[in-house]
Amino acid sequence: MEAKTNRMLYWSNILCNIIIVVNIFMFALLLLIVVSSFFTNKYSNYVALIDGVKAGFGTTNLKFISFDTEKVVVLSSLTSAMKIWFILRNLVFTVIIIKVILIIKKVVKSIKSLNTFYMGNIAYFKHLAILGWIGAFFSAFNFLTGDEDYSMIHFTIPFGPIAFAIACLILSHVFDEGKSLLDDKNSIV
Amino acid sequence: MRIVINLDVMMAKRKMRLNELSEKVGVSVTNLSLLKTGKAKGVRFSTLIKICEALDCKPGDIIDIE
Repeated sequence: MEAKTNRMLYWSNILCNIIIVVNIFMFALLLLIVVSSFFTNKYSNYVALIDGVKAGFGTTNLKFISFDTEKVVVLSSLTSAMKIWFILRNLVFTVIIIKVILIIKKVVKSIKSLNTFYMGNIAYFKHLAILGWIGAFFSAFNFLTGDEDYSMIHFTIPFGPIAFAIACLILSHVFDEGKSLLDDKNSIV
Repeated sequence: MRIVINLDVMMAKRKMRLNELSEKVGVSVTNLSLLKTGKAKGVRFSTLIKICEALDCKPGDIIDIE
């Protein structure tokens, strides 16, 4: 049982590292594409926004297109302000994901060292819940302006981040309860 | 009303030190000290039996209510 738990924690840790690396890579790629579009349209004519104008939690919302595809919002048609908003929005999501993963790694580390129910983990879950609410706020809306054909504002209810935040709040209470039970157990001779 | 632990009284009667009792009972000195000073929230039946055996007394000699 313990070996199985250790294996699960080991793979959780590896998965966390992979997610961090992939997210940093994806954001760097997005940054490269968008920043290069400030200087040249050589590539940005072939890059379209998928969910870039739609609300929702996501960082990989660009796709490469060919000329004969249906009408889409290409990167080169965006104004500089919109491109900066696009970068900022993705930066917020990338930072949230990386912060969440780093906190999860700390929780995994504490469980590995058999120190599961302590104040640190309760605080970590509260931080995760706050990050979830921030993610929910930023993923609730998105907009596109500057082009008459595509001007729009989009709202949604981001159930994913909201559910994540609620789950983390519940977990912080569970860990709080666990800590008080552990304290009780430790004070029984 | 509250529970009081008279462990120190029984130990004094039996002229037994805390570390000696700790060895006989198999409970750490720290935990026995917590019990003695009334800071422990509870005591297991198994620990109570061992303490009674070591001090040759009954649970009522150690635990009282006031």
